[in-house]
Order: sequence, then C-alpha cells, then structure tokens
Amino acid sequence: MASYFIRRLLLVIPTFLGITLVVFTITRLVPGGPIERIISEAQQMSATEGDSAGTSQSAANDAPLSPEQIEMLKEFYGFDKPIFISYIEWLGKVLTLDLGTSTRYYDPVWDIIKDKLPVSAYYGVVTTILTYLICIPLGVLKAIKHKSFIDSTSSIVVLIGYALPGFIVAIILFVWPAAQWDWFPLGGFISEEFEDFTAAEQIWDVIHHSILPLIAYMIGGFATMTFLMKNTLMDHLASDYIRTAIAKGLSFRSAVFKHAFRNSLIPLATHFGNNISLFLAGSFLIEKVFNIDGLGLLGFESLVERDYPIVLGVLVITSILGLLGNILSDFCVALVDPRVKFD
Amino acid sequence: MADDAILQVKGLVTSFQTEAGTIRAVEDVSFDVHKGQTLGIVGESGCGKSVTSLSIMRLLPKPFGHIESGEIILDKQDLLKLPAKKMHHIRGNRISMIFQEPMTALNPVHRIGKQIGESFMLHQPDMNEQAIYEASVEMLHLVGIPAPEQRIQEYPHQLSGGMRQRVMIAIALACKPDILIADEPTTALDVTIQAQILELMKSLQKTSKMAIIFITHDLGVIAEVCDDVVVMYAGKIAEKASVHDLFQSPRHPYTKGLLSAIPKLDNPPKQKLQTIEGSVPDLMSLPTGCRFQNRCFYMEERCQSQPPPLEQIDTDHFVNCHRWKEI
Ligand SMILES: Nc1ncnc2c1ncn2[C@@H]1O[C@H](COP(=O)(O)OP(=O)(O)OP(=O)(O)O)[C@@H](O)[C@H]1O
Ligand SMILES: [Mg+2]
Repeated sequence: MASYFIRRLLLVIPTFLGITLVVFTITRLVPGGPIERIISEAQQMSATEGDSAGTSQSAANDAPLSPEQIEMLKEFYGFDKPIFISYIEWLGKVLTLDLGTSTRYYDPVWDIIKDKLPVSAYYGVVTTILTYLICIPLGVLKAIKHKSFIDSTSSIVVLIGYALPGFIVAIILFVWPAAQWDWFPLGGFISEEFEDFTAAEQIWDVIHHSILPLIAYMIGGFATMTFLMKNTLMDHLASDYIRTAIAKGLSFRSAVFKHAFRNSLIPLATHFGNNISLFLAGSFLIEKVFNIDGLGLLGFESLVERDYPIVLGVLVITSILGLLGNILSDFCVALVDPRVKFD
Repeated sequence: MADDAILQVKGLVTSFQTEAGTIRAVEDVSFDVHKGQTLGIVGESGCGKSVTSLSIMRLLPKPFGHIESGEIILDKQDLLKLPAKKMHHIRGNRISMIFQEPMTALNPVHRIGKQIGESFMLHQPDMNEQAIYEASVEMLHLVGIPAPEQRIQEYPHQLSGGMRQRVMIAIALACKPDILIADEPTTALDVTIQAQILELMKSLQKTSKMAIIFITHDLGVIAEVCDDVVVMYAGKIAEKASVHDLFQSPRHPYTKGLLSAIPKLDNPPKQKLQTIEGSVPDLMSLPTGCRFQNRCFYMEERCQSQPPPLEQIDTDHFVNCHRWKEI
C-alpha cells in the first residue's frame, strides 16, 4: 500500500506541470495583460491631465509610453522571452517556494496567499465535516423511513437547497437574518474588538460570523451527499448479505448499522478528499457577499485585474490541494473497503 | 409419521403486491419436515420454491411480500403469529437458511470470523470472545475449509465460490439449528464442488440429526439427498411423496415429464433430450382449472373447468391431478 501512495504522489508531478503550463500559456495569450493595463492607465492619467491643463497636448495622448519604456516593462514582467522559457523560469522559482510578486500590490504572492489560507482552510474543513455530519445521518434516516413523511419533506428541503445557487442563498441570508433582523454580523471573519475578547468570546465570535456563510456553502452540496447516502444504503438494504444477516437472527436495525452502513460509506469516501479541496478553494461569490477574505475571492479579483502572479499562485496551491485530495479519497476508500488493495 | 414432524407448513398462501396487481406466488402449500430427514422441494424456475422458504423464515421482501394465510408450526407454535422480536431467536438458532447465491450472500467488508462469530454472539450470549473464536475455527474445520485459522482472518473476496458456500453453511449451522433450509445451495457452483457440498450436508446431518429442507430444480440431486419430495408447479403442489415412491411411481404428468427429462446413460447417444413442451402460465393470468393443462398430454374437459384437488393416493403420497388413476 505504501508503494501505491508513493506512486500516486509521483503522479502528482506531471499533472501539476500540465495544469500550470496550460494556465501559464493562457495568461500570455489572453489580451489585457499587465502591460496593456499599465498603458491604458497611463493613457487615462495623461487624458485627465490633459483635460485639466487644457487641450494643447492631445497629439501625445495616443502614445503615452515610449517603445523603450514598453520594452522595459516587458522585461520586468518577463514577457520578453518565449512562453516556454519563462514558464521554466517561473517553475524554477516555484520550486524554491517563490511565487513571485503581485503586480497589483507589489507584495510577495506567497505572503498574500498565506494571509488568506487560514480563513479558507477553516471554511473548507468545517464545511466538509458538517456536510458529512448532517448528510450521513439524514441519508440513513431517509433510507430507513423511505417514503415516509420525514423522507418526503426532507427531500423537498434538500432539493430546494440544491436548486438555489449558493450565492443566491448567501444574498438571502445576508439581507434578512444579517442585515434586516440583525441576528448575525454583516460578514467578515471576526469582530474588530476580537483581540479584547476572552477565549470563549473569541470562539463564539468566529462561530457567529461563520454560521451564515457555512449555510450558503453547504446548502448546495447537501442534496448530492444525502441522496448518495440514501440510495446506496437502500441498495445495500436490499442486498443478499443483509438477508443473510437477518437470517442469522439480527434485527433489521442491527443489520442496517452493523452491516449495510459501512458498505454504504464507500461511495461517500470517494468524494471526501475532493470535497475538502473544493470547499477550500471557496466560492468567490459567497466570499464577496459575506466579505470573507479567502482564496476564492483573491483568485477571482486577481483574474479580473490580470494580476497573473497571484492567479498562478492560487492555482498552484489549489491544484496541489486538489491532487492531494484525490489521494486522500483513495486512502479513505481503502480504509472502509477491504477489497481495495493498492499494489 | 406426522407425530414426529418438527416443522409443519399448513395451507401457506403467499402473495406479492406488484405494479400490475397482486400475484399469488405460493398457493395452499402444506408439508411436514421430520427430524433427521431431508425434504426436497423441486420445480421449475419461478414455481415458488424460494418464496416458500422465505415465508417460513418470515424474510419476504417488505412491503411487497405478504403471507395471506396458513400456519407454520414449530414446537406447537405458529411462527406466523409470533411477534417480530421472537422471530429473531428462531432465525439462525432454530431454523437456518443457506441461499442460492454464495458470491453475494456474505458481507464484503467483514472478515469471515466476524460473520460466523456473529451467530454465536446473537444466540449464545454467555460465550466470551475466546470461546467464540475457537467455536468459529471449529465450524470452519467442520465444513472442510483447510487452514481455518488463516481463513477466519480473510474477507469474502479472498475465497472461491465453493469456499464461500461452505462459510455460509458454517454460519447456518453454528448454533446447531433444528432445521436447515438450503435454497439451491449448489446451483451456482460447478459440479465437483456441488458433490462435495452435498456430501458435507449429508454427513453433518447424520451427526446433528437436523432436518433439512432442500430446494433444487435438479431431480438428480433430489434422488441423492432427500427422503421426501414436494414437486411444485406454478405456486401449487403438484405431487408429494417419498423419494422412492416418486421415482418409482410418479403420478402427476408434470412429475413424469420432469423424470423423463433426466438424461440416462442407457439412452442411445445423441438422442434428442426430452423436454416438457410449452411454458409455465403467468401467475397474473392463471387459467381456471388445472394450472398444468396447457402442457399436459392427458388434458381433458374437466381439467379446464375445475382445479383438481390434492388427493391422497397412498400413506404419504399426494397428487394434484384429476386423472392420476389413469396415468
Ligand atoms: N420480490 C418479488 N416481487 C414480486 N414477485 C415476486 C417477488 N419474488 C418472487 N416473486 C414471484 O414469485 C414467483 C416465485 O418466485 P420464486 O423466487 O419462489 O421462484 P423459485 O421457484 O425459487 O425459482 P428459482 O428456481 O428461479 O429460484 C415468481 O414467479 C415471481 O413472479
Ligand atoms: Mg429460488
């Protein structure tokens, strides 16, 4: 088994190279890169200057930067070399944990990402755990009480949650429970007075801030997980080995929990790692509504602003997490299913 | 003979609720099972053999399967009137069952040892872990599994089909049941393994004096292991007799058909195999009168108009045919 996971880890390398190379190339080919931005900014600046100073210099407005200046900028951003060469250079830096410098903030990318990681990790891990903690028991209940009142009503609720996009839920939660009724803080991760709180107050503060975003994050994932749990459990309840268990003298209840349950966890285990990395990457819309300073929002804004070092940095982090998540999933499956042997 | 019957099935009627309507998969089936003896139930696929045995165990798929009427008497008490909780003490303890499909009948994520030990844990709560382990190894040894100490640590997927069926037998016999229901235990296995399993069941029966209900569609197997036979056709008993009587003087045309369908060594080679022409009627639209009429050489008018009664023609010989005297 150890050798299997070592091989899986080695496979991360080519996948990682593939993903980053593609995105790196795209950042080069898509119009609107940092140099074009600077040119247009300079244009605007000289245009406003021109307005205030009169109309005399309008001819110079067309080319606010000289070709030499543009060449210098290209060199600064590494755009003067062929794509592949600069990719290799970028990669070499990444290997020394240097993700470059933000073209917006002029801070090291890694420092910026490091600031956002705890918040994202908090939401990623808590969302995943809560989703499993709620969906597994709910799915079991629905399977055992198939077609009962509780099964049908919970299906309706869960499906409405599935149909509503997470950011719509976020907006609804923001407008009423938070803004209108004042039950929850208006976004953010912690209160401003956080430092002055006692430990218990600090914990409550974090929870209080995160309840609404967590609901928004989870609500879409409920349906898939709950129905996956319900349907696999029902399949297993109808299976031969459950009949064997009952024929041995087990009650239906014990047959469910001692036999069917673990078998039904197998498909859920295959999702575990992916879910963690998915939630960790976050949703920029939910982050935006609740003013959460996480990776999702950072990545999105950097993309809009063409801050490519950050875009690539976020990509590096999330793709590594995603690939590790896959391996984590394999590990979870091996944990619950003895038939899975890695060698 | 009825006095030493350990289990009596009386007038069992079992039906299923389906989308197309209610079907009666078993209708008015009665038989006695005797201590230390084997009762065979034989018949074509779909004639209600499994439904009969699941009814005895009260294991019909819920909520569609339903026992309409009848009695299943063990120790003078009707199992069908027992509260569900009491049934837990009967299953696996007094009556055990082995299923048709050994490949899927074991839980894939539990070790063999745990699956056998569970029976002891359920029915002999005073056994400690060590005793359960030893008894489980002993059971595996008894059913002829080599290196039981090692096998007990393994998972079902590490065992062959024959081995798994042996494990199923070990589980079923763990608590020394009075009755073992074996629903086509060898159908899914190849012929040599089949012979070994049959041999095993016979020898285990000799030492434990348990009664066996042996379900099969193979009359050859019936001849080998059974004392009495029930022949079922489309949910009803066609003929019921001792093995000797059934093979020597079959009275129902269906039984005769089944017997002549067994290939014999003294037949000239490459001769066309005898089969029973036609097919089983649909349980949704049974004919009035005899259920076998559409395939019967002896069919006459009254066979179409009124169902034949199950007539006693000898001490232990019953037949469900209007014209048994003439054939
Ligand atoms: N779950 C079910 N739902 C509806 N009908 C069923 C169900 N199980 C069995 N039946 C009906 O009961 C009839 C008898 O089925 P049963 O399984 O007892 O046949 P069998 O004699 O055991 O056949 P086989 O030799 O193939 O195992 C079938 O024809 C089928 O129509
Ligand atoms: Mg069957």
